[in-house]
Amino acid sequence: MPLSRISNNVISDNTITNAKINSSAAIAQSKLGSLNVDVTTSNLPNGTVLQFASTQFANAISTASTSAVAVSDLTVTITPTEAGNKIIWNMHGGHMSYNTSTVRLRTWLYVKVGSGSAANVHPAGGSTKWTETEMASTFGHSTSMNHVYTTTGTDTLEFTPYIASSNGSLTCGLNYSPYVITASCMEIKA
Amino acid sequence: MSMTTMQKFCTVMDKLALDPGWYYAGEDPETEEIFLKNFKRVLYTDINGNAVLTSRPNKFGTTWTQIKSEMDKL
Repeated sequence: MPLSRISNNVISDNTITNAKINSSAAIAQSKLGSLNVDVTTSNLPNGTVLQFASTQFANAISTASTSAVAVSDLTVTITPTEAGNKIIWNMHGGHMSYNTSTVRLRTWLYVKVGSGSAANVHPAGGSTKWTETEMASTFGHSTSMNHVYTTTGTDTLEFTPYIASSNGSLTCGLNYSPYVITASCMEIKA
Repeated sequence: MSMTTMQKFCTVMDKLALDPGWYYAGEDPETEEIFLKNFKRVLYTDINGNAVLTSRPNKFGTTWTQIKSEMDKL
């Protein structure tokens, strides 16, 4: 009678090679112990970067408006994977400067959730400013803002900086050509 | 040191002192086409303190011709 089955005790330890496994074997996760081959968001460790989005602008962004103006050229859109994760928003670089006289540039960070309205996400709420920088030189300096946002669902989020001048008769800018300003969002599993 | 196009533009705008203000985002205003593409005038401030903007030239309170004429004097 031909040999059709080989019992476990006949196979020597450490002898089965990769080549002996059928290409279509589709070995179940349950047979692989702690080696997780089913990579999904739910089994990634906290702190994992799930996604990244960014935008960059190398032209002028200036205003003489004393009310907050949306800088839509620096809007970053990201759709969270799940509620409770962290979105790390950053905006760095650029060339903040004034033109004819010393003036302050005010900034805010607004977030739009799904089809809702964009709202200032300052911890104090309302129209509280995020930064107010006095510019007394045309040499200018770069901007640096950061915020950690906790997701509450999976609706698409839009992060948009807003700016205003402290004086309606004086121009100030968040950036001037050819300098580069970058805004980005990173979703972190939490 | 000569002024850049954007510096000239902003200097003229400061002199005009449009009230309420304005917003400009984009490449430097070398031509009317670029200016009209990138310039927005504040119409009013909404209840949340945000500027409501318009891109309609008849709401600008000035024209590219006027601005350019002043820029060329700098």
